[in-house]
Amino acid sequence: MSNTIGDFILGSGGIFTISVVIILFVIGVATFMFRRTLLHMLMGVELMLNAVNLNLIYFARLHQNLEGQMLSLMIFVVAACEVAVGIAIIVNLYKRTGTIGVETYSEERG
Amino acid sequence: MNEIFFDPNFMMGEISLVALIVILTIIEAFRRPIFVLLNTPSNSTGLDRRNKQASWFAGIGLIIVAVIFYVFGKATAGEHIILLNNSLTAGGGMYIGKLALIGAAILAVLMSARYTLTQSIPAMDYYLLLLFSLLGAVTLIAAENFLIIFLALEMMSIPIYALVGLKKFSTRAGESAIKYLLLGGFSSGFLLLGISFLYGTTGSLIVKDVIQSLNFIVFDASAFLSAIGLIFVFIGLAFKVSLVPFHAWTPDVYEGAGTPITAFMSVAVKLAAFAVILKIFASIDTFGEFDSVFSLIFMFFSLLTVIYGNSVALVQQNVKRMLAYSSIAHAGYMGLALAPMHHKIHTVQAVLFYGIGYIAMNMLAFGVLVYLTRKEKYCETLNDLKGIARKYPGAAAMMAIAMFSLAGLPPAVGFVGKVQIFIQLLEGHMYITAVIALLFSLVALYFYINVIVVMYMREPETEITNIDKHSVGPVWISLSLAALFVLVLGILPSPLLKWALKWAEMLF
Repeated sequence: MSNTIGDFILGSGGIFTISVVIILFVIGVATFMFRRTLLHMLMGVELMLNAVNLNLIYFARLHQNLEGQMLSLMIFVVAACEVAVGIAIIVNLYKRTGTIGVETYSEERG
Repeated sequence: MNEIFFDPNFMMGEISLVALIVILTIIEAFRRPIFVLLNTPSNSTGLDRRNKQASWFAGIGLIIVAVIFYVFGKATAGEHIILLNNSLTAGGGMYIGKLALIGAAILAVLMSARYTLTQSIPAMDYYLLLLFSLLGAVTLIAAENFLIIFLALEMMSIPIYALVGLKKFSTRAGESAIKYLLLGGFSSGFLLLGISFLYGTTGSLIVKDVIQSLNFIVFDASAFLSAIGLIFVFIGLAFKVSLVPFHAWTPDVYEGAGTPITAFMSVAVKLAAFAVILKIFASIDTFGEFDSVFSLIFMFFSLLTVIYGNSVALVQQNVKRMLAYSSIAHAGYMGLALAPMHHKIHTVQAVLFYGIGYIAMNMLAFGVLVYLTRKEKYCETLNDLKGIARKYPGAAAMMAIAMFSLAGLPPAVGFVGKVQIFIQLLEGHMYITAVIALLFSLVALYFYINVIVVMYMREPETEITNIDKHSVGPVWISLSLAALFVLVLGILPSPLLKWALKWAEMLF
């Protein structure tokens, strides 16, 4: 069972989809780590979540059930909530300090 | 264990918690117009009065919810069922964990009654967010399904991001909030990637099915993907409990957030996230040839956490920051118990006992800081605590109890918890690990005892100003409740151990 699924996942179409997912995810992680403004970091997180969505939808199609698609719908909702709270905090910080650069907010150390 | 689609008796506690949230929202929606109609002043006295009312509503409501949880939990304790198409477990010993989380929320509300007054924070928004977070935590420990685990984890975390940033006038609070939110989102990205790989190899989101169909004996592409998935799930959850090297957010967030919020999130999030880690990882019967690998992973991260947390806490001047590093170290002790992977049910019992005891002692430590907070000045550094024992002997005594318990000295619950963890390590034949962990808990003695020394034996640099007299009563109630739990559970731990065992049986 596990062998056939393994072959199927990494078979003809699977290897392509998983590569795209991993590339998107790594771009998200890199955006989060190397872009130096808060909004870009938030976008990096969104890109990571969307890479996962793609993965889930592919696997849901592979297994012919709907659980993966359900989870990806839930991820949309939760990501929207997170962005709502995040943007509110960023706007508040921008009003108080006049910048959203990360360097401003790294004063607390060790 | 049998499956029922829905039975309200098993869900009554959660239903009443949702009802409380709805009622408080409606009250808040209609209260402001009524205040305007009755021509109440909208200045700071008006806010103070509204905050006091909000604290009463939230406190009494939560106590009623706790009673409902207890009554229905006790009535359904004989059965263990799975509700809503494999979404949630209910019955059995689960109500102990839920009561512990609600206890943490009640203590936090009692402290917040003072904190919101001294800091002029709109209290009802604050309590609603706290209750949403509590609902998430209560759902999280009952989750049976990766979808529910993800949803409940976010339901627990997102209100806390907002709570940390609720002090709009403080840049430091906003900075902590955005750090927590970004790193929280980053970690849930990893958690979800892990979940998607597990779903891909097994075709199911139900934790039990996933665990059963994991087959590590044959190493093929599918086993490889599942192993990566499990490791990513572990990384995502390790962020929440702040194991090193995923701890970077902890000190900044704990320092910047309001003290009662720090207290709540340090205990409730940790206990709930550990319950999920145990549910996923302790119920895996065999990793085949990878059994020792996962054992090594747990041991490596936890030991690193114990060493790092205790060493960095040594040099902290800020008490909140010191408690943050101490909370990292305590997460390490809880994680250490996972390393042996033998006598699983007793291992889980030890971790859950430690988590529940940690609620009482950490709430006590942060409660004293809330008690000593003044309007214009936070009580946070060791300098602020110098010589406090002469003016406020009661608060100093409470802090001393908390420090003894956190350090793991005998008449307190922290001692029993640590002994349980070390027994598990010795039974798993991990002698070197046990010795290193023991050495570092001796190192930890220094900075815990240092707080007591500073309070009792140093002269204050400037004269200690009087603390505000706002709502001192609720803080004293919460302090004495927490101290009572610390001492009683430390002297008579067997009832809690029995309950933790009952809860541990639920997780398999």
